[in-house]
Amino acid sequence: MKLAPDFGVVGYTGRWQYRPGETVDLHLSADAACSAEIRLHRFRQMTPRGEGLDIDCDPVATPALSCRIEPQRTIIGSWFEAELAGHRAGSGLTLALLAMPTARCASGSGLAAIAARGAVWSLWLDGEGRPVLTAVRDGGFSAEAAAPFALRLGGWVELLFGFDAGRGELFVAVDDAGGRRSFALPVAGYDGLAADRIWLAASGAPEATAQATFDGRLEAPLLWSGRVAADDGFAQLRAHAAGDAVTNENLFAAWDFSRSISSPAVEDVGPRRLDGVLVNLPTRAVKGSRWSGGEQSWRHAPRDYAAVHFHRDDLADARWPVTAKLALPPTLDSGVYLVEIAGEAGRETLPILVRPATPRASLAFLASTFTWLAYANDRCLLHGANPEMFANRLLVLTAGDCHLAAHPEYGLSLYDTHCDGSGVSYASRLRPCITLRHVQRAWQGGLGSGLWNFGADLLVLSWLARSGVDVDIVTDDDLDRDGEQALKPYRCVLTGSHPEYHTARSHDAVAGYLAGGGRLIYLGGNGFYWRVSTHPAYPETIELRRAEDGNRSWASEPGEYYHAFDAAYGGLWRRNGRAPQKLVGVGYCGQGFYRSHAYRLRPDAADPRAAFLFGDAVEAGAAFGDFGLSGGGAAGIEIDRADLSLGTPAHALVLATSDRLDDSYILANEEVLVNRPTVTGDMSPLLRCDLVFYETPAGGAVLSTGSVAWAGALGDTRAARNDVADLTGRALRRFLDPAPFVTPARAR
Amino acid sequence: MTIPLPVPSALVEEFLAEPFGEHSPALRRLMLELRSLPARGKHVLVEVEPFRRWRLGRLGGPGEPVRLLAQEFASLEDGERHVFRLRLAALEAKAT
Repeated sequence: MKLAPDFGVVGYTGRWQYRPGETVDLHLSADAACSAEIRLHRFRQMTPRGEGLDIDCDPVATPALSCRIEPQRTIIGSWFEAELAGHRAGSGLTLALLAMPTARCASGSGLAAIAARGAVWSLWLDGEGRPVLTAVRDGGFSAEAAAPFALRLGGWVELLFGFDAGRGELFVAVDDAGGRRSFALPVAGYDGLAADRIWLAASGAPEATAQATFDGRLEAPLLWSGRVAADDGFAQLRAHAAGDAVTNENLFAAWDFSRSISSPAVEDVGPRRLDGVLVNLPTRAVKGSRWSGGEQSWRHAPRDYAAVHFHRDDLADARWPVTAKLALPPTLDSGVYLVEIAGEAGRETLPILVRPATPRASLAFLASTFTWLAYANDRCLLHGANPEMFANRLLVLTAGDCHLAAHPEYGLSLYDTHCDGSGVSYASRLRPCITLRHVQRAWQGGLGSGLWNFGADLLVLSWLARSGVDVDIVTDDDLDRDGEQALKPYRCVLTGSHPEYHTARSHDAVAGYLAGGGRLIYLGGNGFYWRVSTHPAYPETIELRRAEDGNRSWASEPGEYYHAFDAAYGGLWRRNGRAPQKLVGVGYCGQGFYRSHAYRLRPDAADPRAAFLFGDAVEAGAAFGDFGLSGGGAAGIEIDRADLSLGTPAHALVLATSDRLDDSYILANEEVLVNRPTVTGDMSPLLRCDLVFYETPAGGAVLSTGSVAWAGALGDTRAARNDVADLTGRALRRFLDPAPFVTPARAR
Repeated sequence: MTIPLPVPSALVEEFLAEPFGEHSPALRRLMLELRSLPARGKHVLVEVEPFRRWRLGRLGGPGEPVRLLAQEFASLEDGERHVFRLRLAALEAKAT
């Protein structure tokens, strides 16, 4: 396909969205150092051709831009670090902390490291969980030995580690529920050194050696000058973990993870205020060693949540340098653009969205930038919980999928689990997001094109382009930042195929827009489903907890349902009291990733209020949308149902519903109280796809298709007559007409 | 419903005739069994040329690349048939 990346060059942009005249930072890497040319293309449309897809793009005139691309290393894994100013040379030191390892790794797990004038003393765990002491000076190997005992997985232990300057030895002591073990390693040639830096969850400077390799939780790190006797050290560690002040004349630092939980900052409550920082977003707001179960939110009992969960596969920022800066022309129209980077090593094509300098069109397309991010680098097809079962067919891997499999350092998606089995709660755009490419397809897209999320949404934009409808692109991020003001200038807003993830502010923005008389065409399925959060300290990043319920590829641990970013109760919007039916009339009820089906008109379609959609000659029971690029029908993939008990307005018209589904569709978990064998698409009356229309009191209206597959039918130009495109076109014309919608009298 | 082994030839023929067809309950049950393999080493199809040509592959574990095998297919159906035969043979071999 046109402009398809081959991943010989790989990169990411500083953001996914820009305004005309802004500069795009390009962070690029290549298999081998090369020079490359950078060109900008305007995406126009994607159309089916035979069994494949044609991409139509126009080059955009920009000044010639070339760059030199070097291979980049990505430092994956999270860690803690702090500078240790003021340590007295030659005094040695003792570190105490609580640790709960959650995975072992044959190549080792770095637990703690202290640098002292070019020397590094470190404590790590080998593949059997045995503590290993290592001393290295000026980059050369010096001494290393493993203790004759191991730390168990999944339980808290107390640890002391340090350098005894008097004896010239490294030492480690472990207290596991009263059982004490200790081990020491004599090391010569480390006299007279002053410590200057500490890392936790790493066995050295991660920038230098990429050793942020610890999987597990750490809590209450304390540091003293000199060696502290084991009894005294463990006693003070317990006091610190309990939140009591530690008063010891040799105390050097006392970091408290229960403070500033929403930020990357770590406060030192000791005498020197040597505040540290967490790098690459380890998970905070997790249960610590003192969790009682008395509270479920860290805000109510921060001491219960005084731990940080580190993973060797956390990644918040790949930190590749800016290779080139692409200045966008100030006259650029709003739309999707493709930044092509082509060099000897290969080609990369990075999509960006351009929002207009000031609102221009009457119609806004709400780009699902939070959902695209949630799925970014989705590896479930590579090692998830058997998606072939959902797909009902063999998994087909694209070039992007194969590249992702070979590059674990690009990080995980919100659908994946870390290597210790815990769920991935953070997704960042500051890394190669291989699934966000115009050519990417996925098993979730069903039989046919396989277009999914960004790719399927391009079909909506393609249809608008063919229809000659002007549209401005607005993103979830705009709603999160600017609230309903981001939508207010527009008479109508069109969603993409799958607007699944929303923050409270982006959700409020849609609700506020509708309350103010806005018109919304929800052109997808499984929308407004999961709650996510953003935080100013973590740009281009969202947090998710898969709490309580819902179709989940992993589940948050009990007691960890509240987001670290904003203390919000995570999980489904439905479990937050905001079922999607309240916002858009329909809400998620199940999914199948194989075939899609037709809709069949219901008696409500003959209601005069729906005449703008169907005219006067409505034949109840007539089918439409029995074709498409996403499973061969307009109704399918992830689907939504109207439900008065969940908030569908009483005056809403259910215009059509899906024809008989097949048994690859399964009812959503949250729809089921006691599991039963009738949860499949061919048996459950709750599992259906409803097309719903209703007017709002302020003169606006909502049309919801309740189907991810709608975009695949809308974008199918193979049909001689596309009744889905006709219907969407009629809806759009009316929704762009300034004449107010009138709520029926019985609904007022 | 248990799967009779060896798998009745009628079920095999039903799948081979239409890998993406409307399958009988007995064949659907068999397919659930054949698809319930762990991810590591599982057969997949890898695009050689999108929508036109696919190559047989096997998944590695987390962080491991996909291993490409020799067989290529000109249709998804042929890929399904090939992997169906491989999995069927493994299922029947396990039972004997």
